[in-house]
Amino acid sequence: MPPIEASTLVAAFGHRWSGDDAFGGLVADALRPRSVPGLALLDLTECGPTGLLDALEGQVGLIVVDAVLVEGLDTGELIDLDWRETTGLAIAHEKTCSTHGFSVARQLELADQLGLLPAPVRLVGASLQSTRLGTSVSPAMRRAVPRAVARVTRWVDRWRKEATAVTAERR
Amino acid sequence: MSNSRSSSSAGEGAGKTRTLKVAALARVEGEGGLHLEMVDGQCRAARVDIYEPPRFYEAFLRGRDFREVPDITARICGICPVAYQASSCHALEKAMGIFNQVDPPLRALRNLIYCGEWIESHVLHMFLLHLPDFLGQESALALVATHGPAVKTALRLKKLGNAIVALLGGRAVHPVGMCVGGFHAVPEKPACQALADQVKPAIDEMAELTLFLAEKLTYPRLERDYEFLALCPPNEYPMNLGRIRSNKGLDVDQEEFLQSIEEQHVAHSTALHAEVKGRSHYLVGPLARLNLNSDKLHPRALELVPKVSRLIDTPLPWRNNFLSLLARGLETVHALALSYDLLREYRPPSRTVVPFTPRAGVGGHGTEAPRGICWHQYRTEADGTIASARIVPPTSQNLAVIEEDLIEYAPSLNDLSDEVAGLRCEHLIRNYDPCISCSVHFLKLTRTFRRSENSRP
Repeated sequence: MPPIEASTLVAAFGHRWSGDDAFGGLVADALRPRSVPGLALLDLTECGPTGLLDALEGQVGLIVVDAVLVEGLDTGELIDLDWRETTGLAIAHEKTCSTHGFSVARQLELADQLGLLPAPVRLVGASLQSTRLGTSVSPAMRRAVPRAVARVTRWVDRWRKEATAVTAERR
Repeated sequence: MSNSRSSSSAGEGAGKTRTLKVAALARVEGEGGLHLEMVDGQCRAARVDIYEPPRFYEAFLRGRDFREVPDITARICGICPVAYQASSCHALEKAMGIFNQVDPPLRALRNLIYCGEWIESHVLHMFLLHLPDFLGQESALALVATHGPAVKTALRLKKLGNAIVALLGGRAVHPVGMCVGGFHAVPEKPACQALADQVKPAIDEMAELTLFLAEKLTYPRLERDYEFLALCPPNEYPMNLGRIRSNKGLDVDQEEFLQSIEEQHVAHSTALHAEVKGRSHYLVGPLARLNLNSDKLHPRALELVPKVSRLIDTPLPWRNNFLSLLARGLETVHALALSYDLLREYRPPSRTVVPFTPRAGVGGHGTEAPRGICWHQYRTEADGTIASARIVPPTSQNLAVIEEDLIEYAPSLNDLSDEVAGLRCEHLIRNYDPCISCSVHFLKLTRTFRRSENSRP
């Protein structure tokens, strides 16, 4: 029986009609046709983020993709952090899309406290300019999409190989 | 989301005022304002200030093809899209003259997808948004430390609800399965059986949780003589069908709904208020449904009613909307049990959609969204283009009665700090599980206190 491939959940957040907050959705759109081994894509850009909690079970890693608000960074500058190092960052999605007061950060915290979060959790984001409803994503953010895709696929590949190696050792 | 509360006072003796402000209501969607005017310790006025911009769905549906309406209206709400799709489909089926031709198996599938929505919506609200209020905790995060297993169970139940919606709708959020006349596609029997096997143990889990909530929580007392409004079908607990009835004598066909109620613009709200014509504001939602239809609950839920009533020492009908938490619990047991039966008994229908030719017509119909009656009316042109649309969401129907609740409740908060008073008001508002995607946002609390000229200092 072939081994079940470990997967990393890539959760894309944001509001596609709110300027640079569409960043997560654009990364999801770029990832979708690539069929990256070990990548499970969760596109939450058309609704509130409560679906994240449902999708975490059995994942070996989680990558949150979103626009972020960070002082001192240029628009489109990439951020790639361990989630636990993100204190002080305002994830743009929280300002533009909230379903019953249950934000991205809240879901991550809740998942962490419930023991649902996989060990590696990263935020891959890009520094935003504006999330004004009805505006287009800025050119600098759009240029950041391929860099984010490359970063995400690198993490997914690394964690897949690590998980596969661990499984092989146990046998 | 900031949640600051502040106060100010001015004047002495007869002219003393006190203003309490709460910047934002936690654990409901969006922002809004609440102002309480206190005179001699009594609340003379409660105003829920709604400043969410209008969303213009009724306007931009005009000129669209009728087939687009279910998917467009589903985007009014990310939590209750099935309700909007169901109401729009039924209303348009009336406009097209095929309402009575929709096959019973297709009606059963509409009940099934509705069960999924009730389960995920009720569970999310009960355990992650409302339960912290009863336990004196700020959020579901704090709940994990004290009630971790219950939170985990709740998340698993919510996921089951999403799975039911996805089975019939293609995906859990903004499902795309339902259409005018039936469904675009229906599942295969093995998929239904597999899901039934997951649902079965959840029935007992939810029953236990409901009894736990009845036994262990303290419910604030606020009993009022509400007019409860709900669908009342003859042989089933209301979801998709039924006459519209109240506990105060209203009993009308669905098509008479707009003639029976009146929606009003109020200066402080971009959401309309509603009342039974010539009478009173009314309440829709789980408490209304339960009080008017408890005998039609699934037997697995019905058997809990006397146990729950005994634990809270209050027989039905319940007139305290703090007990809406338990009404949701009972409805979730009902939805799980009903969905198990429907999944287990499922056979693919002989046809997925009723064939018809678009025509000019008018149709109005409401279904029971998790928060109450969600009513739609459409007028179509001969080619099926939408000529006009009217949508009455549940949350806006409850806004006036929320204000009335606050007027009655506020005097009990006089001696409390602004922080605590604000939290208590938020708790009351969360009884209604207001859905801001459908309506508007909450909550900034202000209070003014003054004495009347005739009162003694």
